[in-house]
Amino acid sequence: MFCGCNVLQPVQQPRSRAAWRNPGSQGPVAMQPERDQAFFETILSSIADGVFTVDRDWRITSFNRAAERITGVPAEQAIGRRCSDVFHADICERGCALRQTLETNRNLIEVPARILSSPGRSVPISVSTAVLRDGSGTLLGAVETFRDLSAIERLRREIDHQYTFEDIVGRSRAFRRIFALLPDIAESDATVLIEGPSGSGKELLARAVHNLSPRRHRPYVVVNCGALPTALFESELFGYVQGAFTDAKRDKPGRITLAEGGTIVFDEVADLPPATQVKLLRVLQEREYEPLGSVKTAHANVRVVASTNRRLADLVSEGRFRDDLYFRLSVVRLTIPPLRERREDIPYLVEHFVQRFNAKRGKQIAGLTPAAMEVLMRHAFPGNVRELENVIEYGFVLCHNRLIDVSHLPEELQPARHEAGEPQPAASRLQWAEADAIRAAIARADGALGKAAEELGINRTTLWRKMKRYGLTAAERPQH
Amino acid sequence: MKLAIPRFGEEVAPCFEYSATIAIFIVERRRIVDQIDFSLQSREALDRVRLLRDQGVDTLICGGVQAFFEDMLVEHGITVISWVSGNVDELLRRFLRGQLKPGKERLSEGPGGAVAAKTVGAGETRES
Repeated sequence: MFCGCNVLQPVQQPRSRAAWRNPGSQGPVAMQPERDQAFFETILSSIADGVFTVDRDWRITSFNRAAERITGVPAEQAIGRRCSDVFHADICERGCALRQTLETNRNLIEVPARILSSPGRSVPISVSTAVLRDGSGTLLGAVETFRDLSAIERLRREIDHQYTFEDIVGRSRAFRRIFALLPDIAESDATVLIEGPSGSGKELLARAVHNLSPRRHRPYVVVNCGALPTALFESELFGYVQGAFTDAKRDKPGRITLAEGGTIVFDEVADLPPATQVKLLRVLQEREYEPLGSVKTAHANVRVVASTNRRLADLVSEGRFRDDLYFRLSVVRLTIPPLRERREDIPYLVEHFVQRFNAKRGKQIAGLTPAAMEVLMRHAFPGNVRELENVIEYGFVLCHNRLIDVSHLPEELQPARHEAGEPQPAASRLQWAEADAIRAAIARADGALGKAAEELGINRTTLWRKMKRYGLTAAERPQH
Repeated sequence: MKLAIPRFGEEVAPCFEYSATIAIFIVERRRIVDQIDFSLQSREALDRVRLLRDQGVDTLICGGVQAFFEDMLVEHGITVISWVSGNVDELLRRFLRGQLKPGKERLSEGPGGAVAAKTVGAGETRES
């Protein structure tokens, strides 16, 4: 694996105490050159931190196994290249740790940095560097050790709920369209309405909008409209002053005040009763409000994001949601499709959750077996991404190997028609997928078979025949 | 057409998101007719996306880039030739000769499911 370069040989430093001892011996020994290579290779291969060396031209001369794993670059491709071409780090241009060490002759310890691994993933690391010289003091290059901090960062984000766009996992067409809008949405202060079914990741998107905006260093406050009683809505949202009512012993700031300068999210905004819809409309229109009992008008310097698992336009047409409030909320409207309509995202989401639970549970699960992945790819996921997350978490509980298999998945994902773990004939898999597609199309068309047939690109008679074959009815709902 | 290359001196910047200078070249009939260098103080990757979009850039040649931002650029209609390294002038020559293509410079499977860049420098392609 290593290039056999001389920088890997132990450096003789006069002031250094004896660093290497032969196992079993009591004192330092002079090793044979041919043994040195194997000796150091074994040591470097066995450690968990990435280690590499560069020559004076920044060309990589050695690259250990952990460095391969963290960067995603095989040693044979890394060696000979400049380190910046392998690491693509944020510090390459503005504060290269190796350059500082070579220029100042000082070792650096645990400098925080981010590199890009080859699949295009940002990896947080900490870097330590030292100069390499030969026995006569001639500069050979430098050595860098680096530690992957992904798991630590993931846990920190989990604890602090500091999710970023990196936590929005999706490369489907629908998500790419949303991502394309993010530069404009982040820059503007426009109100954003996020629609999507339960568990589809609306909160993550709301957080991403906040974290990408100039308000990201200011508060992020969520108001759950469904959980807030109508009688308390005003006092919760606007706050009150001392003496506003019997129990108002002191001033209490409302959620809008708490979100001052930041973002306020109205979660499940469709659940707002009509009386409170008017109050919210006024805040959106005037950007002003009065805390209960106060005679002073306060200015609301907040960005508003609303989210709902229902189509607000439908509620407007049914007369259950004010149209003026709807238009105020939907300046920018983002729609997250259900997971069954973006199945191509499932492998990315699985990888994301596996990494997350590895960090949380201290496990080393590598992923899913092809059979288990196939089961997930066929599943309708009525609970969307949240359901997938629960499935992976369930798998983590049962799996004691490196790969989560079908037997580690919840029972409802192992229907009798395909026995767990047993490979099915291709024909039956195809039929299962077809039945699932028909079921989903009927559900989307609310049982209108003509519409479902049109979506599937088959005529109504064919659809009816296939439904009969698979035992489906017009009242089908996606199977879980 | 407009071609953008984040640069670090005479070389392609190692990482698109953190590049301090983005050079935009105006290409007409396979010749560079103008060049503007944008110095970026901001550390925000989105500012780089906005710059390319607002300048009407057609193609970006860059080093490393997060998949998220690459998707975003592609969605804005920008062709991205990523994971390229080497001398900017040499890369320009290769591009004008039609030797740099999106996806061609992309990654090949490495150990443990990892991937590694196929192209390692201007005019130098590593077999995977």
